Amino acid sequence: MKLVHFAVSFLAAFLAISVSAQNTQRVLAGRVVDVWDEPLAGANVFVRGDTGFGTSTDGNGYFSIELPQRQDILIEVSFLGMKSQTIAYTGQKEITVIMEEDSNMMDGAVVTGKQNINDLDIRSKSGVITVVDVKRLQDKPMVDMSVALQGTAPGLVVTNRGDLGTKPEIRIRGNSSFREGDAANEPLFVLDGQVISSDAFMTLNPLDIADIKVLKDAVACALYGTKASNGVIEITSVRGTTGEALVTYNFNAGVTTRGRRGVLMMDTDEKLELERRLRNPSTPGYIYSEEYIREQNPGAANIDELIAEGQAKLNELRKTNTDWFKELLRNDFYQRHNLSVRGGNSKTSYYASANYSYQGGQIPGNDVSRFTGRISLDQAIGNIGYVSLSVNGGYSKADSPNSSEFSPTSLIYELNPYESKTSGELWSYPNRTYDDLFYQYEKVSTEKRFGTTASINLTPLKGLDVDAVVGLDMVLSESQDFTPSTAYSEQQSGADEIERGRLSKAKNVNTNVSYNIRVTWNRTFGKHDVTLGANTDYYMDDIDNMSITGYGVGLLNSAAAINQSIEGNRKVSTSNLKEKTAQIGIGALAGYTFDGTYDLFGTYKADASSILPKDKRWNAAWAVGAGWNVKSYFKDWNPISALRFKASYGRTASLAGVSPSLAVATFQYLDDSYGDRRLLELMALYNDSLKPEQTISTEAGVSIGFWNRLSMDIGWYNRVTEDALLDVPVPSSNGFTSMRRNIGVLSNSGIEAALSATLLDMDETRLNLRFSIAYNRNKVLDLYDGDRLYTSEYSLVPDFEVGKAYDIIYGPISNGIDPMTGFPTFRKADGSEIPASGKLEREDMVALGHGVPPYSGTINLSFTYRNFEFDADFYYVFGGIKAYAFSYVRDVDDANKNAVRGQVENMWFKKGDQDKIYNSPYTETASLENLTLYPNSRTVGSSDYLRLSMLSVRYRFPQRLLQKTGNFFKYGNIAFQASNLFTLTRYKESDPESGSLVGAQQPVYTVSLSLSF
Amino acid sequence: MRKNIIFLLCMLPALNSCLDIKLENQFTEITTVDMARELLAAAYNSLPRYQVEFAVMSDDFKPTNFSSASAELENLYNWQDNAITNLSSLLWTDYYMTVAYLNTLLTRLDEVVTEGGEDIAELEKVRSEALALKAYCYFDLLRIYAPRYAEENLDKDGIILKDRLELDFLPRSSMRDCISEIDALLTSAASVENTGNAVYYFGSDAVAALRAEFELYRGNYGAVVSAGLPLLSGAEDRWATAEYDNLWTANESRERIFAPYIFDSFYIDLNYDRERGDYFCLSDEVIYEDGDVRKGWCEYQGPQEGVRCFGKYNRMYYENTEVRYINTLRYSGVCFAVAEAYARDNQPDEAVALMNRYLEARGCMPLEEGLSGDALVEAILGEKQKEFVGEGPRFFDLKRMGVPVVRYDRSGSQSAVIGVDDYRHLFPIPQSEYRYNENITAGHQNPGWSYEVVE
Repeated sequence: MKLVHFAVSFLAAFLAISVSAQNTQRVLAGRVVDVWDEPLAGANVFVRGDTGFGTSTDGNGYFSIELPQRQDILIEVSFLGMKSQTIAYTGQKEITVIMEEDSNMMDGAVVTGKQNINDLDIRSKSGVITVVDVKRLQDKPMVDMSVALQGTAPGLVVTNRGDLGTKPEIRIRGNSSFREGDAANEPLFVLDGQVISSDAFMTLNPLDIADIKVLKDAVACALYGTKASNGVIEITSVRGTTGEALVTYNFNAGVTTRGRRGVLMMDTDEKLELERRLRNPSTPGYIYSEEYIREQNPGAANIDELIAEGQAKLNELRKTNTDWFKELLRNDFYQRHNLSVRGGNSKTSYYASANYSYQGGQIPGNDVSRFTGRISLDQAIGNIGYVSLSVNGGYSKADSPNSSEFSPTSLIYELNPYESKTSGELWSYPNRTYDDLFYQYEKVSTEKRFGTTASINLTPLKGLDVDAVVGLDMVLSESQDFTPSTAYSEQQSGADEIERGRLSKAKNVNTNVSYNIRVTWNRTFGKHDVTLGANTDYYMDDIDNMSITGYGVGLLNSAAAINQSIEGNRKVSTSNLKEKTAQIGIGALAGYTFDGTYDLFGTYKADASSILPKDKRWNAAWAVGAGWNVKSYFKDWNPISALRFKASYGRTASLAGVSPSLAVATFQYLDDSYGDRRLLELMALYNDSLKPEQTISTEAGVSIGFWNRLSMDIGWYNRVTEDALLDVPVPSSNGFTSMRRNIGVLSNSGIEAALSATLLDMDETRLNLRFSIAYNRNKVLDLYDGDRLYTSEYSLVPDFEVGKAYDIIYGPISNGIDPMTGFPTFRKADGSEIPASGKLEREDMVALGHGVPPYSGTINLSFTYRNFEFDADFYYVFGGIKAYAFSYVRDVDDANKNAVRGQVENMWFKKGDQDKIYNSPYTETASLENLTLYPNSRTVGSSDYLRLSMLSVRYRFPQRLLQKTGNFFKYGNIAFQASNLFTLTRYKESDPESGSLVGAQQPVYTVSLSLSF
Repeated sequence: MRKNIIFLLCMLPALNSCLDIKLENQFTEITTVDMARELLAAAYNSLPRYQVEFAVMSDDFKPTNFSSASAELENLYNWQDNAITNLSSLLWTDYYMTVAYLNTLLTRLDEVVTEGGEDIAELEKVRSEALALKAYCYFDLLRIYAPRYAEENLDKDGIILKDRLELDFLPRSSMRDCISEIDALLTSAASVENTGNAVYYFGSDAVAALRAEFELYRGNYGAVVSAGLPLLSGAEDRWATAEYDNLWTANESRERIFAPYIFDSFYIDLNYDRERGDYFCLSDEVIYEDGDVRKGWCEYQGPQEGVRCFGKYNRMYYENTEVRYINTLRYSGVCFAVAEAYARDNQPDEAVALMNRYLEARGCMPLEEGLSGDALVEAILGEKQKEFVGEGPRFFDLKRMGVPVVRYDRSGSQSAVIGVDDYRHLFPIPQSEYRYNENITAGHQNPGWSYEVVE
């Protein structure tokens, strides 16, 4: 019955749209910008007293509004955080509305349905919420939404981790747990009030997003309860507008390039010389050298002839000088097509979009393509509220040729310059040709996402809001790994011919279901403004994973080709994981504002989770905050245009990364067997006194503005995590070597500051500059079991020590290479020198630096001249170090692989070689233990970098030009856009961000065209 | 509104129970006999497999030209401290992992719901096997970590005795306590009649065989005979050549008493490269006469010219034959235990007679009548080494007997002798124990080994 009702109203909505489209009315077009002329997306524009006539601005700040047929029309424009404006309609065709910031945001009226129902105005008065500049995000030509988020908000740190298509590390204000990894530290993602997984977030279409808010402190997050202990990223999607249907087509196309060359490798001449010196008889530089030939043929009569032959071979090799960086990496292309329609009338509005994106990675076989679609509908219910529905889906596919065992990208640093794709058997890979190195492995991962959200916003009585949202988000991730039987690893496996070829296929369905019902009551008594609210929410997460691995597929990349008759360790195996957890919460909030000057806000939420046993199930999150709007004392004194203080305190329990098997004895079946029996395995050494982590945040901040030209936000925070969980080693007589325990207290504290200035403000020229910086430092405040904790029974330096930061990299101080022995030597604490094989003590290890860079920030530049817009974003990170791998420095054993340029010059070869960087190549690893076990002062480098992450030059087609098309085109612009153009760094290896030789973010250069009609 | 809130508050207890989500593939209770058996299967599957390492440390093998290609095995052959420390850490953890499984099972057996007598009987078998397996683990640990059995050593540190799964920080118990614990475990395991099960389960015969080994260890020779002799009636059938050959196949063999089942590859660490050869080969002391049934399976002509490669599982690896059973306890082993007990208990004639039954079945020359004393014991142990070569028991015998371990270099000349009183006969307590267990202090580390705690 409900369904029928729904269908009827849906149909009615569409009829209404078509009717209104025929009945052409007065239309006003325009643009809403802030004082820096930055367009405001999602600003509400409506006719006063007739909220049915309303719209909101698009991503570029443009709107067009239908006007009722009457006189004395006042148009109101509002935007969250800005002073509302009222403009009298006198028949203008176009207006530009410049909005000013307002720290007192009581006027922010809502005219369309709101799905993010936790996004309460009162929350932002004392909470720390950073609004991401979505327009800049959309200007970045990057296929991965989450990587593009880098540098969009101070304190939100996004770190790329590898190939294109790999999920980056996303952290708000550092790791709040001793545990590393996403499960314990990733923020919560909420799309239109529906909790989504970070994988789902990664595949969203940036053009469908109206607004992203980064919630950082306890007051902002507490409404989400215990799930939000690592912060929240709240995404609001683009909704429909009131007015004629506006169709926008957006096209981006360009090239992706190879990017930065991290390590310069040798050319043929130097490589052959190195080989001659290293004297490895499996290298041509040595076996064709004169000395080798003389040594091998003592007293031979034709020795000169043999030497000449060797020279000829070397000269032949010298003809080839392959640059494998250019040869193996490629330029590829990038494209994005986006088509959207939005429109509506006073009662109904809609938005629909479809998007296709493709980005090619640096290495052939690595690319990401994505298709997404979205439909949303808002329908007014009489005069009391709205119903909103949205459906979104996506398909994305990522290909990669890199496996854990073999990475073609690393070949750049291994293949010799005298080798080529056609040179037959390789010196660097004996018995293999170039073709034997490629087509070794193939991995395709796809993600199919489906999400739907329904919400209702009612105002049954004045001041009383009843909101509810329910949603479902599903991600089906599939991956297929294939190693053909012809792959070298399979050839060498010793398996029978018919047992070769490996295939692994996995399907994982992650389903999130959530609802949230909220009642908010607001009333003003004279100077007193009171808000009270309550909510209940539910969140269910279901992971269902199924995978199969088998052999004998030969050359067929299909699970159907698995040979199921194989026994033994190549037997087909299946595995299955199913984990469902749920959480129920109930919360209350209260807010009070006096005279628009003083704000108080408090919220309490109790959450019960299925993860913990019944007696420990309920955990709380609460926060209190206060705001003081000092500006209200000198409203008319312009030099200071804004001044506001905020402070908050809160406490949240966190169950992130905790699973039921850690708290009670839990058994599961393994896919092996013993005789005729399955194996029932005990999953972990459980901890029956396991408690949730408690996060306590304290926050203070000030916002200040001068002459409406310069604004500044500074915030200080301290986040203490009590009962921090970690897998700590236990005596192995317990059978298990580690157990998850509550081990201590840690803190993350820091400062975030943003400065925004209008440097130039003339009629047709504007120049704005924004600068932001975030500083984070962590510290172990307490350990419940002594002052030090070693996570390995062998480690020399405690991994956690009270009073110390826990991302410090320790190592000895290097004295360089001993000119006599060619071995590195180190300085002991007492100043004496010990060799690389000597025994280092705890006190010889010094702090070399922070592994996680404590400083990060952005510089954003915007310049406008007439119809031209120029935008540039820089992202920088500093204060950290990373260890070098030095894997491209060769010794005798791996002399057949290419080496770093300059190694001949910088390596110790004989007694008396002074000031060398690389140790003697004639050695065994055992005598270099201290060099291989620990980083030292000469094997780490600063990971500081500055990146031009976005550059956009846009030309907006002037209205008179568009008019020539008979107003067929309403808006249009053309732009050059590029991302990751360059990275400046002192780090000597490839990528200071991911720290790997492979997987740096690649530059993308595109031309974009956007047309609305 | 108020009603709603009251309603919601009333709903809370109900909400609470809707969070009792049963995980489809994860269980918190062992409710059926089948589940108990499956948990026991996981314990069996977790039994440590260090046959290669023990054999390399014993005098079964000598180096080949490839020995230096495996630093790990070569160092172990030379009894180097670091290598023993690494092995010790693995052994300790693995044996206690099995103990942890058994403790988990033993403490949950009372929760198991049984239906009918068959269920009850099966549950008792599970209990018996779990106890016996625990005794088996403790016995191995005791022989590795404690001094050799002697009256004056009984108050010295033995091993850690652990009775529950939960996290503990336990001290080492005295050897005396460890021995009486093993005794008690074997006694209660033996109280259940457990026959007719597959050979990969620890049945009554296996309990008796382990009892015989254990009594031999502590010099209770009469008890060795009374535990072992009943197993040897009609043993000639079990020692038939066909049964012996079947030991090194995936087929059944009546010679097995307890042979853990295996799906993975086994005994592949001795081999350097199938085309080139092994790191170690048979020692010159292990010589088989012609006609000895064991010769065909213990010696193997591998790719190395003039080198007697080790056969058995190693040969199976060369020939790509699947290993399904690890032949751990065998009737021949019981024979050696009983014969040695007779010999030491001044019953040389019984010893020789029993040995000759075995030797005849293996196609060997019988022992001389009238052989007695040390010469007889030596002869018995010599035959035992030939039977179990490469499988590890020799390592334990060397320590029990107080025989110096002679090491050779690649050229065949003697490079070192590990004396009878060498500290390395007691493996070091691993670092994880003394770094994280406050009850293992410096005084509890085995003598001669480092005790470094970074504070």
